[in-house]
Amino acid sequence: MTPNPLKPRIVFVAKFGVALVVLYAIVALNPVNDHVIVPFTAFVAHCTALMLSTFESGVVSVGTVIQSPRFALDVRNGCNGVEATLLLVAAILGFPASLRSRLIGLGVASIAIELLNLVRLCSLFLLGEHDRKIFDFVHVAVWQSLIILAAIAIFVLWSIKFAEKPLVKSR
Amino acid sequence: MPRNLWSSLAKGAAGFLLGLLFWWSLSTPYARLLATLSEPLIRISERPSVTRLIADGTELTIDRDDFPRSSPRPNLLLMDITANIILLTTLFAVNRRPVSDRNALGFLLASLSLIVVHVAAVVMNVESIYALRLGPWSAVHYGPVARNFWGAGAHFYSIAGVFGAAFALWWLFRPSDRSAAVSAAGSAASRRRPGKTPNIRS
Repeated sequence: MTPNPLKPRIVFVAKFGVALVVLYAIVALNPVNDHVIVPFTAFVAHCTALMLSTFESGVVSVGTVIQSPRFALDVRNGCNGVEATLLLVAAILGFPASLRSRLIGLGVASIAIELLNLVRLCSLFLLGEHDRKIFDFVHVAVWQSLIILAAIAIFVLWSIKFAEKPLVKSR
Repeated sequence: MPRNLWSSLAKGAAGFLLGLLFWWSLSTPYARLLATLSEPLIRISERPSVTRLIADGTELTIDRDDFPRSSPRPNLLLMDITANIILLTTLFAVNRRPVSDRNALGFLLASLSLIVVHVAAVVMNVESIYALRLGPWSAVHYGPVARNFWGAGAHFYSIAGVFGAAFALWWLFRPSDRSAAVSAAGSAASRRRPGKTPNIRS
């Protein structure tokens, strides 16, 4: 009997879906949100304000809000990079790989996503100061997709670099 | 780094712009389609059926026959719900042979599946508005379990599900490297020997 070529894909997607729901459920719990996600988001806002203050004066962060005399941006869930990290973690957990490979992937990928997210927040803040309509468009259409694309690109590169190695060796 | 990085980036950029164009230009007619498909699903659980979804540009206005005439109608923004088509188009554009029949078929199937996902997301969001945002009316008509279920479902979609769905559909429907290679070899063999069926071993 020939194996179903779609089976590995279906298995991966099922594992990915379950992992995504479980990770979301953990992150959505009120204690986790209040004691981990919100402080982390405030830290992201603080780092963004620090980066922005090299371009212009008067940019500060208060909690999760980045503000200047001309514009204020509240960094919320969905804009803190956590959603892309969740997707990446779910994909890495769903893919067959060694624990070491997974840990390397998770570490490197999370840092890369958060660095890219800082660039996103800086660019959105600068856009928001100058044109609100372009800000809305770029916020929803461009940067969200780019962050997730970056996460998927990192996952695909990781799967080529680490996860497929044992398979190649065993052939 | 992969050798074809620049080619992938160029294909990805083209796919991204194409997806953006799709999403932007078709959002108004697509809102009407989503209203038409979602409304009957919401009305299934209603006795009597009172919900009406009215497409208004890129938004859905949620109306009910039992709402007081003077009260404002809640709106649902569709652009956030449907933005994952940009991601899906980009991912299919980056595949090895983006204009091959197999890739086009995969993209078509994934896009059709994404419509189902969008309909589910609209239903989830409308129910979440009913369950959480209509004050005392919500508390009377939705219990704690239902409120958490619809609220968490809509929140999950907006945070993780919207792009997770596009990624999962791409993963399911993208042509495998092996089938792409077979397709390419088949095309090459057909070009060499017109009229003969290529005999391909994989």
